[in-house]
Order: sequence, then structure tokens, then C-alpha cells
Amino acid sequence: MRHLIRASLLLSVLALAGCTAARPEPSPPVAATVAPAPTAGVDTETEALAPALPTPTAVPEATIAQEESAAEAPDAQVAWADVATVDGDYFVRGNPMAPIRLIDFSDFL
Amino acid sequence: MLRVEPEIIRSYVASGEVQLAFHHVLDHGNASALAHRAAECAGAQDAFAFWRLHDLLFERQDQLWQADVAALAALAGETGVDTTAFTACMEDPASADKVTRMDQARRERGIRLRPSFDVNGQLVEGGIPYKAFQQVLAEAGAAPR
Repeated sequence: MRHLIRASLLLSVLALAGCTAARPEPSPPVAATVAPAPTAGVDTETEALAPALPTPTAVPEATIAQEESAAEAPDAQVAWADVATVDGDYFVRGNPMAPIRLIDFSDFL
Repeated sequence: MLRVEPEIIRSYVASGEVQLAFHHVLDHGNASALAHRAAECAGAQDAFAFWRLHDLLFERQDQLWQADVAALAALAGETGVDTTAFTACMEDPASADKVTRMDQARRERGIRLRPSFDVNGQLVEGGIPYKAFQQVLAEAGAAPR
């Protein structure tokens, strides 16, 4: 009987882990761990398994904020050519965190 | 404008490796000043409108010699900016002050040729072929193309 209860609880844990595994960012796999055997004389199965569940971490929102993605390697999925910012006196086109700044000194005429 | 600017935008700006900035050069008196102020005033409403008008001003270069504020407002309107606000900006001396100040700064730096460009502090004067640009950008750390 205990086996049946334990098995059903384990299945529930695995199902819950599957639901929380869909994340936009790669993250360490959520591993369902099996709690150690309950101490003799105490029916702590449910309590033993529940604390074994890893605490779900907040799923970071996928952002396309210029500052966050720009600080990492240039992201080909961001249409940098369509991005414009202001830096001091300059209007800047492209990744504002790009390691190379090319300044064009030109007259429109 | 760099003749190779569209290619640089496609190859380097789009990838996120290079950011392109524009420095005002006023070599043709009031006509230059008005055109550059126009770009500034478009940019005051929307940073990308600066670049849209930047492209349009180079495309319609032949119209700029005789262009007045109204004509520039019409051009600016094609980029989607509010032409009333644009015109008000053109009447504000602040836009003139900025482009004049930037022009003066490049003169003090000794930059005389057009176009000239600065790549992370390395000054290259005059128009150069795209391949030469690729070399300069590679030396600055851009991925080889």
C-alpha cells in the first residue's frame, strides 16, 4: 500500500517537474529527487517527499532590452540596424554596447 | 556620407559589432547648417527619425542648396515626424548651437576631409573602398568577413 502511495506521489512530482521545465532560457534541469526513507514509526511519506521538491526558481523573462542583450555577445536575432539611441551629442545607430564605434564626419551637402 | 555606409550597416551594424554615430560637418554655410539642424530636430522627436532623415538628406542632396525651413519640414514629414514640432525646433537656436559646436570640435581636431571617420579613436580621412574599411574594422576587433 505504501508502495502504491509512494509511486503515485512520485508520478505527481515528475508531472509537476515536466510542467515547470518549459523555460525560454536554458536552465539546470529540474530533477525530482526521492526523499530518504521515513523514520520508523512515523508516517512522514508525504512530508518526506514534499520537501525534496526543488524550489521553483523565478523564470527570467526573455527580454530584448538593448542593455541586457547588448552586454553579451552580439545577438543576431536583434535587428540592430533598426535600433537608434542617443549618446551625448551623438545619434547612434546599432547596438549601443557594440565594442566598435564608427563615427562618420560628413556634411549632407 | 560614406559611400559604403549601406554595406557597413548590413554587414557590421546589423550584427551588433559596430555602432554608427554621426558627427556634423558644416562646410557649406547656411545650407549645411539648416540641413544638419533638420536632422537634429527630427532626432529630437525620435532617435531613428534622425537616421531616416539622414538617409533622405543624402538622397535629396541636390534639393538642399536652396531648401528653407518649410522645404526641410516637408522632407522631415516623410520620415513621420510632427512637422509643427519640427518647425518649432528649427526656430529654436539650440539646434543651431549644437551643430555649430560639433562642427567646431571637428575643426579643432584637424578633420578637414569629407568624409572622415573615427573607428574607436583611429582617424581615417577621406573616402576609402569597402575592403579597406573591412581591414580597419578587423583591426578594431570585428570578426573577419
